[in-house]
Amino acid sequence: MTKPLLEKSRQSMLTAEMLLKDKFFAGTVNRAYYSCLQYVLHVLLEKLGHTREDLEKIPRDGTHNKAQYLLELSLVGKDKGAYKWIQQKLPEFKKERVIADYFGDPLDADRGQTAINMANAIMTTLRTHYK
Amino acid sequence: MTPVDFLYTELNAIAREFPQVHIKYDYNELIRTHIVVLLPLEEYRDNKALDDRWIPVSFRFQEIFPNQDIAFVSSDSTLDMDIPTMEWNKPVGALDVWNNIIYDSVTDQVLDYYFSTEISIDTVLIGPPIANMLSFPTLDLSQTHNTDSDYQAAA
Repeated sequence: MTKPLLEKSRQSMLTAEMLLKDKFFAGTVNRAYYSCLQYVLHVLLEKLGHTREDLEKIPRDGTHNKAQYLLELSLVGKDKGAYKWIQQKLPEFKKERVIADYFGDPLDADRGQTAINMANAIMTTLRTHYK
Repeated sequence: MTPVDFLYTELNAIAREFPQVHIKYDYNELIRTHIVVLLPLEEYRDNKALDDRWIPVSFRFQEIFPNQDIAFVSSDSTLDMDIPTMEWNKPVGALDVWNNIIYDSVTDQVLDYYFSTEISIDTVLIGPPIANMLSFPTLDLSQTHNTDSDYQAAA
């Protein structure tokens, strides 16, 4: 595997599915979310040809914010509908992940499955636009 | 200029340009993100002119405030809020209209009524126990004026 972030994303998703099967729902949400973020970084570095240095130069704080900003800049020029959807879904997903990691009761299977579906939907959208 | 100042100015302008769009704003502490809700969903989903107006605002916000996040969403989002800190073009529902019709006239009457803060001594009712304690002259109820009438007269 020559695309490390794609492989990390794949492994995170497989982990999310295993955790769901074992009823570790908070962990499921966490891994599904990071699978998605790793895929975003894969798109930026492998598909759009950005370097880690490019990412560092982005005037945003934190890798996630830099990656999301750079992705949105690219996506808005390709498909405004997809941009609108992504800029809404990533923060929604982040909220789910923060709740899963730090707040509330142990989650249920539906929340875990929803997180996996969300990650897959975001990655499918990105796959469509960055082949 | 703070992030909220920037958003107030920009969203105020958008609200004037798109009076049919209900705009809500709040800061989501959980994910530390400024949330702007554009309603109804059809406007957010289908109004291309609205897209062309808010999308540049979103990017400009992120350039000016590199440590702040923002998302523009609609009613189908889990980030929508019940109690916004700022709001524009809030639609007036049928129930609100009826409430206004019914209560506005009542409110006007209440507001028109003036309560005097000065009360003449002969309008104060003093019962025997209090009179004894204070050694104050007793007034029969029959000697007192009609209190409501006095207030009305004062008004």
